[in-house]
Amino acid sequence: MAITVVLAAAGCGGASNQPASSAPTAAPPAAPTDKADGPGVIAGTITFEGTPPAARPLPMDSDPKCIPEPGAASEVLVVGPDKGVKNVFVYVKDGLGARTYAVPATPVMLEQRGCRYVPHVFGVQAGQTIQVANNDTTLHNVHALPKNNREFNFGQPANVPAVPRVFDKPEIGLPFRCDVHGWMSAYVNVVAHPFFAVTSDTGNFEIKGLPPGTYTIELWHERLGTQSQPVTVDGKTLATMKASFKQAS
Amino acid sequence: MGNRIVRAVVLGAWTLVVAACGGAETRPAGAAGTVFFVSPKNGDTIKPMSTIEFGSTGATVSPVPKGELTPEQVRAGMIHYHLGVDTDCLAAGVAIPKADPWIHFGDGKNVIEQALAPGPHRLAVQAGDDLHRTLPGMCQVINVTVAP
Repeated sequence: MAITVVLAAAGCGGASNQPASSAPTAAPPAAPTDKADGPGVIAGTITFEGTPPAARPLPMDSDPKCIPEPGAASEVLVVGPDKGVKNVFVYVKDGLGARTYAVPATPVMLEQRGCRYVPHVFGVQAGQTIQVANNDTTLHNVHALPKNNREFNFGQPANVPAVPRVFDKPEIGLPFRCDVHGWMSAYVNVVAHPFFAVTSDTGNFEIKGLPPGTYTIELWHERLGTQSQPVTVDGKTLATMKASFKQAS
Repeated sequence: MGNRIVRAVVLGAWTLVVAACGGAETRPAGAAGTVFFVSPKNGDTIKPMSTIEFGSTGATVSPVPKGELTPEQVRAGMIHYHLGVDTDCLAAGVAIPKADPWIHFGDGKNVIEQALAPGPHRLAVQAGDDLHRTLPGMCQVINVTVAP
């Protein structure tokens, strides 16, 4: 009998090598003491040095249910006509001291649309809900591959409700993949405060509500890497910054 | 006498294993191994978001090596899983599409959460080699019902 039980367990058990993801659990309240309503604003432009590569079309032929949106192309490196770099995540890396900020109650939306993740790069506060929606007519799976947070992987056919997920710990450049459509990727950047932005098509960004002070501003790009620089905000005049990336060799 | 008892016990245990794994199986005689659903089981009623777990016998589950592989580089006896949603097993020897309704587990893992609309669904677990080609008999299909 003992042999029977052992064999049955071995035969059907199959070691589980991925922690089952669970319903979202919000980060424990951090007793926020500060509001993001300071007078300081940082605005800037991130540009590309050199000749940017041509936009690369996405090869969606493998799934006939994938209907690309007009102009859909790889978003790994998007450089505008004035060499502004899109999808650079800009955030306050240091300088806020012990300030704490409430987690927004409004969720951030991550769509699967035209067999792409939209937006391709975005930011959330730790503990803020991300609603993941499938607006395509095809099956996707949403596979988050964090280093500091809990991995999850869920399949999401068409016509099922959006799925909420939460990352509790700060983490920059946290990738999302789809294991049905290998070209699909997105990056969420999880920070402990609301002072972040993602550069637009023109490479511009703006971060509002900062208290006066000197901050380390870090730039992150999935292909071009990271760089940082100090910026002083006096709360009376607009603090500006410019930075440029070169193509990584 | 002693050997006969041991053989009978082992045979009985194997019968229980197969019964416990359940579901429709396409494994022909002489196939190298099996893949199956650890959970849910055939006939189960499940939630709209449920954990799906796979198991296997007779093969080693391994991540697919990086980069382009030639047929000569395919590692014998190494498999990874694919989950088919509302579909049946594929024929042996074909490439599993990188498309709906197949989710690839090229990282070698065996668990996923699956969102499904309420109602009946048909799930397939299909093993693939390093080139995502199906293997004889290494597939199982189960029917489940998602509760509203």
